[in-house]
Amino acid sequence: MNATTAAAPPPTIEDQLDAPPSRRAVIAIVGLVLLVALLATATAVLWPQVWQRDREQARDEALLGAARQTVSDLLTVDQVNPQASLDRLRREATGEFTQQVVSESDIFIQAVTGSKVSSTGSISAAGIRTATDDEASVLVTAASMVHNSQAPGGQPRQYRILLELRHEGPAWLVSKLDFLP
Amino acid sequence: MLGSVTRFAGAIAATVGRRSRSVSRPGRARTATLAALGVLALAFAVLAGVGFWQFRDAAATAGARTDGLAAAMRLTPELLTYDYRTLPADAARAQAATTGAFGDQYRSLIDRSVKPNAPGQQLVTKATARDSAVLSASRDQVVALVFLSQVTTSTNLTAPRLDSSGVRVILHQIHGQWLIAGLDRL
Repeated sequence: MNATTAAAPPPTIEDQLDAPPSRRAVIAIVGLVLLVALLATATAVLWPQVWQRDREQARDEALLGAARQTVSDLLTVDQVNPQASLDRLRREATGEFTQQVVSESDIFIQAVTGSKVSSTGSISAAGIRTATDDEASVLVTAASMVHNSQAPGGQPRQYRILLELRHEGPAWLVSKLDFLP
Repeated sequence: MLGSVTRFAGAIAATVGRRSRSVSRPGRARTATLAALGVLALAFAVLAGVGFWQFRDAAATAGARTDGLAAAMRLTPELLTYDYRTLPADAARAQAATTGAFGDQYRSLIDRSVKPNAPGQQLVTKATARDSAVLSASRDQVVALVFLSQVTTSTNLTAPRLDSSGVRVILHQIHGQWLIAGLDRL
């Protein structure tokens, strides 16, 4: 730093001529600041809604996965160890469906061991009727091949199922499950 | 001619002169500010643009879920409802609910297997949509799961037959209208 650069030169006629472009520059800067503010606001408004959509997609996948799993567990019965099926269902259930699983477990075990039932379930479609972040209602169509003492060769069955699920903790649990006629 | 060239050259010289003068220290700061703001504006323009495009897609998809599902509930029974006494009208109405290759398939199915048999059997069948759910949705396509119940009477049957079924219905939005582009029983 020496004295020649530190000391401001006196205003010249040429500097006076610079005045109009400088005003233009101020206008340009103000304009750009406004434009940036406008675009930043638009970004701040739009992206949260896009993220919301992505969250909903992830949520839908999670709750449909839970519904499929429960239906599959319900329709896949192993005569050797029916208690294992019930334990699995208990972990996936809440509310009314838990009570149903508990209250029907004895009948279930008797029926399965008594007539040597084994069954393998498969889901053909699972879709969302309604869903919020807390609860959902899901329709499922499923099929199973049921083997028992009357039909050792296996008997195919079709099901239409309405499930209600609740979001509890990190998981979606089934609170209601109805086989529709 | 020569005069205008000279004036042009003079104008360039003036511009160059002014530009060189303006690269003084305050001028450099100003240029840097403008450049930074320009870059920022461009970055936010891209972000806002992509965001807007995605937002529109999300909004359209949300609308498609509602409208597509409503159309599935309304149109699916039409394809599966007919009366041997009003077969041509029923087939025309059902065909109007379809689109694309599926419409042709549907027509040939009706022509091949329903029209020749329905009058002889006095076949009347009526489908009702009981419930529906979304299997997948995008702006212009919804795949719905529809639960139907169907009552059929014919001379082949001693009593009306009640069937329950689940069908997968593919719907396309064509010029704002949802139409059936595919249907299969599950």
